[in-house]
Amino acid sequence: MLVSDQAVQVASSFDREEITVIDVVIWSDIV
Amino acid sequence: VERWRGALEELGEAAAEVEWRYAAFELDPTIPAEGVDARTSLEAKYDAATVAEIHARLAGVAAAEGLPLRDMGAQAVRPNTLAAHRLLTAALEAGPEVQQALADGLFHAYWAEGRDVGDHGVLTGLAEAAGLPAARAAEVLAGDDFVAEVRAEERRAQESGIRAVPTFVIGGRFAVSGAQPPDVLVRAVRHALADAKRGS
Repeated sequence: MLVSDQAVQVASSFDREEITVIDVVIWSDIV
Repeated sequence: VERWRGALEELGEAAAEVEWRYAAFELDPTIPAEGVDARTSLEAKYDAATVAEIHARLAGVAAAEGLPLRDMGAQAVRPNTLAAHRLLTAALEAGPEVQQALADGLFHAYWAEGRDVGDHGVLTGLAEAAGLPAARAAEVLAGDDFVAEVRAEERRAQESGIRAVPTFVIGGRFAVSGAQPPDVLVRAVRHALADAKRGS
């Protein structure tokens, strides 16, 4: 159980790290 | 796009938390691959006075932004941009910075130099300058590579209700459409970052 709790904790802090990068997609034509 | 760069500068350190890329949108996909004569195509839609007015408006915007713009009346070809979008998609595989450099090259070639950005030779040269090997660019252009990806992005734009370009989709949730001042884009990015950090 302890192992799985730790795994959950690592995963959730990783998620938080990931989510602070904002992805911006620019739909555009050249002309 | 210059305004987007301005917004990134204004964001300062927060700009490091922004990953950005271009997605394909063709304003007129009905243009044949070889392009059409620019003057004939415009005159088929508008009278001479309206054409002059459009050109004057574009020149005014470019001057206000300090952007180079060639004589719009002298533009020979109105290009089909599918090949350019296929190449931009290929460039993204090499990294967002390669795609961004290629897009800069494409915008400059068309708007400042009046070059035909539907021509494979022109495109290969621009790709090479942006850091995509010429052989790779030629290979992509010679076949149908990335047509499906470009079409998928265009479909996604349509399904998302995107009708005008540029449209900035920020964090997959906020959309900002049209040529907005940098501070509007800055506010939208800050809002999205704050939202993400709240762990929504």
